[in-house]
Amino acid sequence: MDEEDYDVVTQEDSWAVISSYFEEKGLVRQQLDSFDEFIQNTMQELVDDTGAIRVRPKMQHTVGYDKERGEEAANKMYEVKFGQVYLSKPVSVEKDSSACNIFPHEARLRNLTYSAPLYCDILLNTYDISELDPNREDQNDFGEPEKMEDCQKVFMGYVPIMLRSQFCVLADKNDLELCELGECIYDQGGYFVINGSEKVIVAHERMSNNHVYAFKKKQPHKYSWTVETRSQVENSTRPTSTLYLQMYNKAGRGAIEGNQIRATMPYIRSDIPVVIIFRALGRNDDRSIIEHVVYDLEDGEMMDLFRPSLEEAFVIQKQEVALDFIGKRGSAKDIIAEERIAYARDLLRSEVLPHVGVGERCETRKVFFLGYAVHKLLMCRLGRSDEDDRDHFGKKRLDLAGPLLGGLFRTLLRKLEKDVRSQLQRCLDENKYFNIESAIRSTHITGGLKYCLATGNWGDRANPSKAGVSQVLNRLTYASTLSHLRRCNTPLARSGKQAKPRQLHNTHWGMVCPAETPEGQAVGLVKNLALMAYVSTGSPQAIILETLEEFGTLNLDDLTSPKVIADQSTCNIFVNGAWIGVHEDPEKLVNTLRGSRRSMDIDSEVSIVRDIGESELRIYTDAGRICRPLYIVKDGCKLAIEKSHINRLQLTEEDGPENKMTFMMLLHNGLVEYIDTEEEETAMVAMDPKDLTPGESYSSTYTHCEIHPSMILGICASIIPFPDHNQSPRNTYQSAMGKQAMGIYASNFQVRMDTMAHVLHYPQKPLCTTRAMEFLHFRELPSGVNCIVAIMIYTGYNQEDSLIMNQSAIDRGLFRSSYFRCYVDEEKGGSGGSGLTSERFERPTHDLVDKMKAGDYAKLDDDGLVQPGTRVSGTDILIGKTAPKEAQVGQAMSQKTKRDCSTAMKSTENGIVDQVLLSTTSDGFRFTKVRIRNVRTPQIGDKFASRHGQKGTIGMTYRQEDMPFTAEGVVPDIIVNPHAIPSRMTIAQLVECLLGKVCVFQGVEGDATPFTDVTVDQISKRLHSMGYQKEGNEALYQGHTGKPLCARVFIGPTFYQRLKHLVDDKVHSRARGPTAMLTRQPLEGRGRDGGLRMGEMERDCLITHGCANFIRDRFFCSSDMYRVHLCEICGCFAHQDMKNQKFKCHSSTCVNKPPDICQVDIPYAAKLLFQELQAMCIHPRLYTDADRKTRDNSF
Amino acid sequence: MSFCPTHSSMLVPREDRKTKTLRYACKLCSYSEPAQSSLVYRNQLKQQAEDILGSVSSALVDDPTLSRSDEVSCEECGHKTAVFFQSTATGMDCLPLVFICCNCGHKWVTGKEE
Repeated sequence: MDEEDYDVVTQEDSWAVISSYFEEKGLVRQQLDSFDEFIQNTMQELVDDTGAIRVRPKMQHTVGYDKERGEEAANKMYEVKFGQVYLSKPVSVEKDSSACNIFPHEARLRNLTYSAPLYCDILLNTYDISELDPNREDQNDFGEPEKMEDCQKVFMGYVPIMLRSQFCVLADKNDLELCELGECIYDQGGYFVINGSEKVIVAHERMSNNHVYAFKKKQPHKYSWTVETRSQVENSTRPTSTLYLQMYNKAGRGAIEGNQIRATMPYIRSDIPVVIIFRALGRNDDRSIIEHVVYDLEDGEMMDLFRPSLEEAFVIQKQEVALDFIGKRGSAKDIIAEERIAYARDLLRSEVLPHVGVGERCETRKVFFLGYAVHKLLMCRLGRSDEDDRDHFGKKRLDLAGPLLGGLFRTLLRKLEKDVRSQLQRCLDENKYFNIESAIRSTHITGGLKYCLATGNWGDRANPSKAGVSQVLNRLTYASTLSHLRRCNTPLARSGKQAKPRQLHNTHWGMVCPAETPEGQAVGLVKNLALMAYVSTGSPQAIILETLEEFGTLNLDDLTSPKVIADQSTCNIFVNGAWIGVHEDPEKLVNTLRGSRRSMDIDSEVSIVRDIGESELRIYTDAGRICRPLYIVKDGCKLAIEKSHINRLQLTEEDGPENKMTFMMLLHNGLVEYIDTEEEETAMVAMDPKDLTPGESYSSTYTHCEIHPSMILGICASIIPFPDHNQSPRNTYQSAMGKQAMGIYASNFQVRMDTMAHVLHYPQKPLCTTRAMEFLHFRELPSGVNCIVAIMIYTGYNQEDSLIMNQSAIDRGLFRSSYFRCYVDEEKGGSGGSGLTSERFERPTHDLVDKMKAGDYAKLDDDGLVQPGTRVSGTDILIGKTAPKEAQVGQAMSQKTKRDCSTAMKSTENGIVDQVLLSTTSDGFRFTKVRIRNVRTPQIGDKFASRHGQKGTIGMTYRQEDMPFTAEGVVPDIIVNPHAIPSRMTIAQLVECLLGKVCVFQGVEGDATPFTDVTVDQISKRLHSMGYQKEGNEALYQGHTGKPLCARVFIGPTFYQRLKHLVDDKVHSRARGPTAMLTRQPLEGRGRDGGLRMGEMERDCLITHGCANFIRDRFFCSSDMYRVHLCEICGCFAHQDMKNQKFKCHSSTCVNKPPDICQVDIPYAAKLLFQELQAMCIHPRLYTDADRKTRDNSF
Repeated sequence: MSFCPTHSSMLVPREDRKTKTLRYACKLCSYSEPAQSSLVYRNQLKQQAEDILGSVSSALVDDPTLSRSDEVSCEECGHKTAVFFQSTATGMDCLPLVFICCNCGHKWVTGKEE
């Protein structure tokens, strides 16, 4: 290698950068950053926004009311102001109201909530307003308060804390400390613990606000084009208000010309010609309107297109008339003209384009923005611009924990404020002492946050706005947990058959994993973030505005003539969608801005988009943009990062912290920067540092370079070796299956009490690894075993995706796993503690306890719990619990004073009691969790899969002596059928096997990272050089006879996963069994020992076979056959006395007639139907013979 | 389009019956002016390739994502390098390539109808 070559940064060096990124950020940084932003800034801002609560006492007219004191009090104004908020460390309060610090592990075990108390400084002011001037300038100024009361740190409620966020006790703990606290050392946090269960807030995707979107309408339609702007003020409570502009098509006879533009505004019933809005905003003359819409008065074509709109609004020339026109179409009724005008003025101010401004003197800016929207519409209609792409990822925002909790907190705070106000009013009215601490009811915040996080129904309890926001964290395997924390949901009707939003978009590159998405109804709607994708947390836009001003941006308000906008060299500047002004030299401005972002003078997550074609500069600072780091390229051909930086990145702590470089320093030094989806459109990104070599490069204008192309994949797809050699759906299948694989889901699994958990006994790190696995800790917490796999046909027991497994290997422990299940119970009821009315853990005895279950109570100790180590099976009782029986009226007092409410084991399971936990809940009730352990050895029917979407179940197990073997005596663990390969095209599995074979012999780990320079040819050469057949084929000998097999077999180590679908959890059969009470039909489901459904299709099948008696047996005899007796005279059910064989009909028509009764078999469901019909006065009558003489046809 | 000097309102075409000439008149006052040409309305159904050049910004040469060609020659300055892209404008029969000279910003179109 040349000396010069050594200095060049290669793709290999990128791994140092990637390592530093994950070292600093971890894999769930978006969650943590978003939550920290909420706690540190948003919460205080929301409290500040609340404003003061001002209340004046009202005179009362009740008996005994002290009128004099009341009059005196009425001159007072009381004010409550919220100040600084404080959050302490997470705390749990016990029954005896002693508070102590709580750790997440304890919260998980004891079903508590990991939350921290929130305190707030509150100022209580009393003003004397009797001598105040009612017409004073500032209505909010009440002078000096007469009395001031400063309440420090008033308790507001508990806020759930995200694990490993800055406010979590685990934030700065090292591995040893984590271990001592019972935490998994690889756990990344990013979730909450609510009532003991781990909850993730899944990111929600939405359209970004304040954008102007133009859409073409599918013809035939009333409109040809529409433009819409969803407008929302930064950090505001108000819902988005949308302004629509439509351009009409020529409508039928008698209609005006067509092509006129009208606008739909909130609260206005009909659409308003857009020129009228311009006039209402104070632009009366045609010329100035045209200047704001067309900009270039030379553009005849566009002016002609706008002419119909002007002509339509000709009759309205004055601002007042225009406002009146709008006001008339508003919701307010029966008001005079002045009020109407004021109403319209108010509406234009606060509901039309509020992001531009809601105060006074915003009209100029609104006219400009409205003109911009109309301009865009005209441009589209003229074919000069294209329709906007709804699915462009740059126009999407992800709402993470921060914004979602912020919205929730805001509504809860509003509720609290309302409550405090009404309490204050009541206290004052009644002349009572007002105590702020008791007026702030902490249940509003505590309960509200907890409810939403526990159920996932976001928003108000009565009408939640979104469902499924918070989900129970998936703990099946470590990768599935990580993947769940990086999931993203699109709230769109799953049933909608529109394909576009589900498809992979160009702009998803590097942001969303192209492989990892569920199959079926949610395909493409549920996404997973790519490894290096990062979601912006939002930064204040004030700094940007200052910078822009400083560098010579012409403010829109100061613009003398809009004509400058038409000039192609000027550039319109938008900040978060709002039009700020224009600039004469965009090139220079952009370079300045980029420069200051690269030196972190402005936040590194701010995106600067220069759209040259549209002459626009768009700057975004808002939260929820998806971005990713890229290398910066200088002069189109040279990476800013150099080998020396890489070397400094690779230093360890021991080499001195001052020399070591971090990812933050890379950002600071302008070597790497965050690029969001929209900015990426304006960047020229090289795929590999190699592509930058001058002369050979595709482009000479590169601005950025990928850090590594394999970073486009998500968590689950990063586990696949050589995914670039697979057919793409196979990677998707594996991404879904990797989440079902057993492994070690957390390093603290021994002390966790999950309701269900699988743990693989001898997990191995895969022979063929990807570089990304290092960050996923897949080597430390693997989920599979390297098996010797032969791809061959042998005895025929591996057909149709089944596999043959080596029984001897199984006996040695291959794929053995433990299954853990937890049963939970607590002593409920009573007034806390073990009062007489509460439930009690104890061993129920037949003489005192009523309604005892069928299971075995003998395994319970005196304390009502099973002993650890006890073998339990079937319906054995695990937790004995009794409840006192309420004395029922009219029932003889029995000896039995208690009722049994024990917990029995699931009837289909068995195992050994692993651990019993006895503790108390937060209400002081005793509470227990019992964990059962069960070892599962692989058996016929268990499901396995390679890492390439190749799943199968065991079809047969053979002992070693019956398995084929190689010349060296290697016996395969698994034999898969070759038919699984060609149609599925999972070439990567073959490459993995080949590389695995090389690795086994060389004793190294194989690198199976995608998009590297490794070729199959290289691997096979390495294998060949070790004296093996270069394609990995070997001669095998028949196990039974020892004779050589006539074909060469592809054999080698492949990483296999055991999936959680085990036959033991699925086997089910039933002859007779329980039936439903109401219909007497067999129950459904394995858990209830139900029957196997004979469905419609099975029925169709039987009908075509013509086996009528079998149908009768299945659907009637074996289901709900019932015997009834019918009166043949009236057709009613007759009374029966089976003991004396006497049958009689009591109907009035039959009473005096000789009985004529017959017995029929009908389904019980039919009998039920008849009786229900009778209850609604419909009397069905049943006859066995239509022509019977006795039949009474009188009704 | 022209405007009334007092009301700044859009002038509409009106026939002057006496002189039998076309005039542009204000609808709000009595102002009118003689028409420069007899063309009142123009409906362009098809666009010419050259027409799109007006709406193409010369600043596009700064766009790093556009492809560049070294094998062209600018008519104005003879510079060899130019940025080019396919026009997305609709209403044309051809798919014109727009070239912008990297040196002088001169724009031209190829692929137009002969």
